Amino acid sequence: MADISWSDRFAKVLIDRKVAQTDVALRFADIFKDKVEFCEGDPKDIQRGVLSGEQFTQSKKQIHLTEFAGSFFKKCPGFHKGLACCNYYVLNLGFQCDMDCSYCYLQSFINSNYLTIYTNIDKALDELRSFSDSMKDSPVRVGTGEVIDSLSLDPLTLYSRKLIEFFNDYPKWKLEFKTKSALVDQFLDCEHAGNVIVSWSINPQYIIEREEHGTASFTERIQAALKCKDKGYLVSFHIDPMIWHPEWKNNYAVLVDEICKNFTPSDIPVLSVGALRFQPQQKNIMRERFAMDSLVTQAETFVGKDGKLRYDFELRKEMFDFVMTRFKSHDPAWKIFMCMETPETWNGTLGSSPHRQSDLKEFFKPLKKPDSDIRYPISDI
Amino acid sequence: MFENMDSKSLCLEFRPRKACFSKAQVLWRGFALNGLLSATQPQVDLSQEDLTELLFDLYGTLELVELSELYQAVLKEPSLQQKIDWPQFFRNQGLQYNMRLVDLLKVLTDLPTTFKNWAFEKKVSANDLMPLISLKDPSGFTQICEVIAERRLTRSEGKKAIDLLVDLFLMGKTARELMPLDESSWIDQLSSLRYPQTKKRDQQQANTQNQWPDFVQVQSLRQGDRRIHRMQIHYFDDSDLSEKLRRLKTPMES
Repeated sequence: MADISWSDRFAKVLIDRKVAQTDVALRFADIFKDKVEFCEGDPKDIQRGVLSGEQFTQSKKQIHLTEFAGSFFKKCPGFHKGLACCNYYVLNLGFQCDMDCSYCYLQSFINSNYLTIYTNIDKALDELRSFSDSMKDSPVRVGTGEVIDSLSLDPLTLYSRKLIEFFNDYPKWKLEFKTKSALVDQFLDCEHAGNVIVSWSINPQYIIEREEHGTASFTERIQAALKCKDKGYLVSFHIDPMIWHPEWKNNYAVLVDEICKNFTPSDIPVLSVGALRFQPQQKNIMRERFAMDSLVTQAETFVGKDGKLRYDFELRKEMFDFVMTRFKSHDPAWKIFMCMETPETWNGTLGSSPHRQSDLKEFFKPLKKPDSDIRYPISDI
Repeated sequence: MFENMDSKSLCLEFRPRKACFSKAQVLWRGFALNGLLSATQPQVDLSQEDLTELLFDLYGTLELVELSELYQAVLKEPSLQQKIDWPQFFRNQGLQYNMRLVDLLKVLTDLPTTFKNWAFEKKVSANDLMPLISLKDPSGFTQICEVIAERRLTRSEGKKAIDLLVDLFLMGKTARELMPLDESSWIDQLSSLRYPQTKKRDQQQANTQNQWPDFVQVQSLRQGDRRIHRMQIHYFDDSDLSEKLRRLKTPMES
């Protein structure tokens, strides 16, 4: 927390007056001092709607702290006709990410030139509590890293600590932090019920350097994961999005070998792999921001069944097959699933749908519908 | 109410490509909003009206190219520009006002007239042309835009071509390298340039296809992220079909 570099991270911190006395706002005010301004409601210079490349970049440099009036808790966008769904729920405690991956889907999704942090986490916990009445004993998985990195700003918000404490009362549920940072020290001392997964979206260092701007290095992510493992947290890796490049086999082989060198299948309940994919309209902003210097804008992608641009089906299958085979060659006990993929890809790579895979079917078993009013939106992600 | 045009009136330098709703010269605070239409028309002064709504009443829904021209014309007249509620103006046109749209309208201004005529005729949307905003210097793209217009591509062909062309242009291909080589499909030619590895893989797989009997024609095609095969069989009657299907099941014997 004493890290002095925080104050350089943002150009402006705007705090809604009605949340100025919350713990989070007070912490931000203390750290960012002369960069802090106060506002009533929305910032005066807020821009809504489709952002230009420049505005999107700006939105990573200015923070708005406010309350969220809507529903925090949503079903994962993978819950979509034609995709194999793994019963994942998302809890959005903010909006926009302070890191800058060239392929990030937020580029076609963010509609404000401010990174927003919601200060009313207690309302989010109340929502979870009401949901629990009907689902307490179900194997619900809740992730916080859908529209904001779970941990990259966590030393400032300390939300991980509140969530871990909350999940102590729901041992059958799983809480998943998903991050590309290495910031875990702020919660390592928390008592937990063994139901917290700290997961890293991970790629070879070659890809991190070129496409995942402002994120932790491969080694830093592995080191952070080891710290979590040592404290009894479950650890997971999402090798997603796999990005084709001429040396992809070598680089992904190194990645798999490093994971296998540092972790065993019992440390990591499940791994996921996914390949580069994005909405066609996202291509415009990526091209505007990264020109054709990025492996992502250069990628040979085609419209898939779900309307997203993806690599050729056969190439995806080859990439997934390569990673899975490499893991299984280290230890057949590794459990790996494919994220946001069609049943055909599952069949092509694993020989059957995830529902029929003995080591994965628990994740894909349909859950009963919760009694509380859960929204199922974001069909356009 | 109707007068002859005052010689001191200023004209908004915009001429829609289809008929204007008003047969009279519409004046707004000294500006002839449709002054380029004809100097001999009677005038009506509507200075009390809201300019944003007045422009819509006057011109109705405009095509993207016209919006670009109107937007640029208004920008040249600060006293008009200040009085326009741009978000409302674009809402009236069924568009959302944002910087991306503004950037696109600016890019469109500098493109050749033949291309703008094509875009008008084909009713292309902002989304169709959005790749153009990635071009830091659209002037290098002028020649390519002229080819799009000359070849009279359909709207969907044009959209596809623009996306491929912008990618290739930004990847360092020169306008000359992107010109159509012959009368065959320009889009196929561009796709081969843009997706060389996929093209190569498709070709390799097509070459390793099973040897099919001579009564079928098999064509390998790309359909989105898949390579598919289209098979054509000619048969005379049901028994011929049955026989051919039987032989198909054991193609190597045929």
